[in-house]
Amino acid sequence: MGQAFPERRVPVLIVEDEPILRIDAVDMVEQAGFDAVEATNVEHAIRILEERKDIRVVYMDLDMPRGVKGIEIAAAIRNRWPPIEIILTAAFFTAADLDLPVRAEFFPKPIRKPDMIAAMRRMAMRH
Amino acid sequence: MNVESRTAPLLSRFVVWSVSKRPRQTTRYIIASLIILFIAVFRYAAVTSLVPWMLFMPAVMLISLTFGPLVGVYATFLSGVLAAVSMAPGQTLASLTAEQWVGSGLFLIVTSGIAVTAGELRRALWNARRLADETERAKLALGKSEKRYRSLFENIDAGFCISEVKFDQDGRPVDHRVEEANPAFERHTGLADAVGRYASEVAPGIEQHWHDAYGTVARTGKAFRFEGEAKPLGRWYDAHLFPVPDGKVGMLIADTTKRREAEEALARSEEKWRSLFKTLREGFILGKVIRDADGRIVDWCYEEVNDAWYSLVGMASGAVVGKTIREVFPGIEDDWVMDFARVVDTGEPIRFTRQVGSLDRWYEGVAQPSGHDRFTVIFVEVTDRIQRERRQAALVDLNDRLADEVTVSGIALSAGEILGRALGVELAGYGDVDPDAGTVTVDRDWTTGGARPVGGTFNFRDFGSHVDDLKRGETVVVRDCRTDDRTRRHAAALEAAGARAFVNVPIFERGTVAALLYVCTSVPRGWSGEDLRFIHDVAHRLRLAVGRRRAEQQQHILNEELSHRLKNTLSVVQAIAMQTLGRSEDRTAVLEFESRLSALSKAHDLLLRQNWSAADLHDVAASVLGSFGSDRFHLSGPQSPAGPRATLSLSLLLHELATNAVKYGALSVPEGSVDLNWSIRGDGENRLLHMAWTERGGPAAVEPTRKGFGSRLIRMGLIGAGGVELHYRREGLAVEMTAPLHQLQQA
Repeated sequence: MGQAFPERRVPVLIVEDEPILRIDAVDMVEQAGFDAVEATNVEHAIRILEERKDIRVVYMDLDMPRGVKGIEIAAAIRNRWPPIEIILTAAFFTAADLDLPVRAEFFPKPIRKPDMIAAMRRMAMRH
Repeated sequence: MNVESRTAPLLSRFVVWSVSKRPRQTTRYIIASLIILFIAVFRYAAVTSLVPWMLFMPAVMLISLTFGPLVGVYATFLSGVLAAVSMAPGQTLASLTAEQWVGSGLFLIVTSGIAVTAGELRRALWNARRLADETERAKLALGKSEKRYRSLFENIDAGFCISEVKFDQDGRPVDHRVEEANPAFERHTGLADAVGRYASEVAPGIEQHWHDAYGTVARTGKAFRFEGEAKPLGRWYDAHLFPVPDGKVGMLIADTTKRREAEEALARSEEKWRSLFKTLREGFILGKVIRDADGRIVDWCYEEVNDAWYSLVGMASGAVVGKTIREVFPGIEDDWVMDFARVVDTGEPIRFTRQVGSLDRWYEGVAQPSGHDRFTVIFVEVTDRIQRERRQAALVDLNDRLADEVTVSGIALSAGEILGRALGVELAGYGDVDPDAGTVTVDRDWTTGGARPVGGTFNFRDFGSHVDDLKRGETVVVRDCRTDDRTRRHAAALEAAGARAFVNVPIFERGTVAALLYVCTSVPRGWSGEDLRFIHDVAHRLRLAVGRRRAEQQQHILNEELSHRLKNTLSVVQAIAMQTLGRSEDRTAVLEFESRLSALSKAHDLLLRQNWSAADLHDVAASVLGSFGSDRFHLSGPQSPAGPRATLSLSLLLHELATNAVKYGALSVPEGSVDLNWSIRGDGENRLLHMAWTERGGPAAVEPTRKGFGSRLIRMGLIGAGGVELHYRREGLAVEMTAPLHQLQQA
């Protein structure tokens, strides 16, 4: 599938504290033809975003216990880096319960990967 | 005397006769003259000079008797003249001898005296006669009168007797003897032979007061009337004693025993009614309506009320009779006037249950017309009952509201409102207590009548020392914060919060006070036992409801947490599966695995929303099929709950059918669609759920050669126990699934 995309892979920041889920997510975005950048928590993610200006898509798990309320972080990212696209997942919520930031998309766990990959590609196309 | 007695009547009769004739004076003189002339002629012719005057004397006497002394004297002088003439016929008087002159003079003097004497006799006889007549008449009259009185005496209804009073040496009356009595006396006393005997003989044991009465009348001479009992006779008398001559006492008596008994019976009866009226616990009013100039009833006046009225209304005794209800209760509800006006106007009694707002009391009773613009009301106070009923209703209302309210704050507000309205206070609410900090935190409370809602966190110590009682689990009842020892010094703060009087009920959780139910009012109030019971009752219910709601919230949080962890775990399982199966393996299988896992997860979501009890069939279907494009499915069927197991198996089944339809069936072409219909057939225990999956607009269905996991899932049916028929038709796949409804709904 990756062959259909240009050589320079679009970097996707994966914010996930659960290692197994992070590995799986990294696999998923890489197989989809993106460049996976890993962050193990919100602070880490913020640091990466400050350093790497090329990141255009952030995939974040809202269920991270140590973080501040995930949805607020997502809103903060949206405000600080308006061009960045946000994909959220969580086991706790359904999309209807969430006050999603503009242009963000939400996929409840366990995710159907094809849906999420499709969303990432749509987002990458915008840039 | 004898002669007199014999002659007197004859003479007197003559005199009476002559007097009664009453001839005129001239007639008298003419008759007297004629008699004397006749005698003179007779003497002249027959008698000589011998005693010539003697013949005239009887005639003069007779004339005098008959016609009075003046006529007698006239006759005397006429006789003298005629005698003188007859003695010397044809001669002058000078020819009379000296003897003759002397004789004539003597005659004149004597006869004049006789005439005067006879005249006096005549007068005396006449007077005697008249006196006798008068006496006779008086006698007659007296006899008549006596007869009349005697008859009256004999015939009157009243008993009558005349008695003589006997006094002892000290002058005290000790007895009396009946001297005379009429027949009625016997009837009234029952004493047949009382006359001539002493009262103490005929009626032994007669009361001294009778003797005293007799004595008093005899001594004072004044009449005396009294009513008294004569025990020996077993009777009561109305006695009228009066003095009669000779120091005796007359008595008129009437037996009043019967009348008295009747009166006593009446009095007893009246007493009975009066005492009933007085002791009646029901209030009683005799009222008279008051009309305006047009005759419309505008008010009514209390003519009589019983003691119960005062206690039921709470007024000083005697303060109301003669006043109108509008005077007694200014601003009273008009119905209190108009309803009784209607009773008077229509003559129909009414029953009422009504409040006197100014007294804050309820009354129930009956008003009845009693004629002449009057009516009676008999009533009881039912304030307690009404309050009880209202509170009962309030509790029922509370239960409903508590069941409806979702949040603790809503429960507290509802309880506050119901409590406040039922007790008629201005402020009521519920707050969480932090016993260590000594604070209460109020979210929202109920207020009315201008009371400011309390909100926020307060320190108990700012309002008094009653928190110590609360911590010990005691209900704090303050009738007036200015006088209560615990709050006196903080009265201003309490009053500013609208709590002149208040009740605080602590609500305990795990041994410490966790919350507080409070009821406050801005005026002093003596909380009744009924009030406190009601507040406790509400507190109890509130505590249960809050506890239940908190438990539910806890449960909800737990459920969410569980679901969260389950789904997270599923995600991890998914990730492990992906990583384990690796990239080289069959991608399709991995994706199917993911997809099934997702369907399972969605089923869990649904069940979570229903607290793991049951999900609606429609929701289950919509949730699973939604991710395949909701516009391609047509769902229809009655609402029907599915238990957790059925929800899971149905989710997986529909997911498999939809996946197949996308791969090979109707959904593999843009115009294909799927109908999912379900219905309930049969009744009672044997009701079956029938569900049909019908694909249209796609390629003809072909039975697969390989029976994979998907096929097996489908064949497991609605509840994992079969009951599935697959029809591979040209129009598309049709699946008929049935399951007993009760199994479907089981947990």
